[in-house]
Amino acid sequence: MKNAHERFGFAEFEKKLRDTTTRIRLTADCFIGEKPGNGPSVGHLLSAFGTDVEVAALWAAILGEESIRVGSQNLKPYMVQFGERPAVYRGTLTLPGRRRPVRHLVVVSTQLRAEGDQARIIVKSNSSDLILRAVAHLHGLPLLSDWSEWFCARLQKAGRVRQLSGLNCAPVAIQGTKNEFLEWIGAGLKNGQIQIPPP
Amino acid sequence: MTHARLTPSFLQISATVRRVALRVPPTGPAEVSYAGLPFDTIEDLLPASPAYRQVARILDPQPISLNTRPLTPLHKGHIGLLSTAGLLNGKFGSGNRLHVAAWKTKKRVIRTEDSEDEKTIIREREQFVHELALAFANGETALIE
Repeated sequence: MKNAHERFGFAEFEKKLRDTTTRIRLTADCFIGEKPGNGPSVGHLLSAFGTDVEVAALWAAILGEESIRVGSQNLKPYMVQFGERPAVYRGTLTLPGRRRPVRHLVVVSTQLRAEGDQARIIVKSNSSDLILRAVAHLHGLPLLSDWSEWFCARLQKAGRVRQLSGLNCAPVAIQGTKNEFLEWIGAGLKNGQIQIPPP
Repeated sequence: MTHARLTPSFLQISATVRRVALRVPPTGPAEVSYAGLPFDTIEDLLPASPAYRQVARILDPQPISLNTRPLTPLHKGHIGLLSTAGLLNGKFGSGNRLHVAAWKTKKRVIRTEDSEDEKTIIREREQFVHELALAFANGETALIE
């Protein structure tokens, strides 16, 4: 694809010491964040790349629970924190014709990993297929892929879908417990809104 | 001397001197070089990045499908392992007993507190629980642990 710079954003942070201020800025290709009504903004996913030193610095900043400023052409810059114990994954991209590889870093919050509160799931895209797969996988629910449209319509009707801010993705937060969703499936089957095709 | 050159009389004299045309030789087309990161190439490489591969299970969970015939008949232990791994999720039964099954393994922490000689001992025991969620064609649902 061409003109990638138009789609990319940035992730930067400042470290102030006694007499110096260091600013590190990386290019971000994906981000999921949330601005709650009260309290600090929370980051759930960040994918950024840069040189070895830049990525190491951002990794240290995230583990040190520093605030990161994220923004792009379509996303107004704001400060986010990834909370306690975010998972940080690093990789290397070898570019043809370049001596030094580019380092890639992906940060995933505890909530996106669904390790904390199971009553709230964050999904990277608002597509009905992905929402169904994520809910079925994380809750262990008997959901068939043919039911994705019905399930999303049911979620929307109950007001359980909340849009989050994102860079190069359209993330949503899904609210609901396993027992609630299982009740919905039972009611849908009873009313004939969904059917189980024979195996 | 420098001061004399700047006087108006000197400028008048210099204006009468024959003009010499100094031609700038033509150059080739201007070359624009970019020394930064090649974003287009990086964007193409990112989906295959090892970091993204590790989070693929979180960002884009895929249902596990197993459509092979086992070499030997499965015994109870095999079935238990397969079911808890989510490999036996799907549609089963027929007629009124047609249902969709989904298995899930959960970790449960059992916390106990004992008081001994003015001391409180807190013990945490981790336990894995296998949960089966069922949805029958007639609308019945069940959650079995």
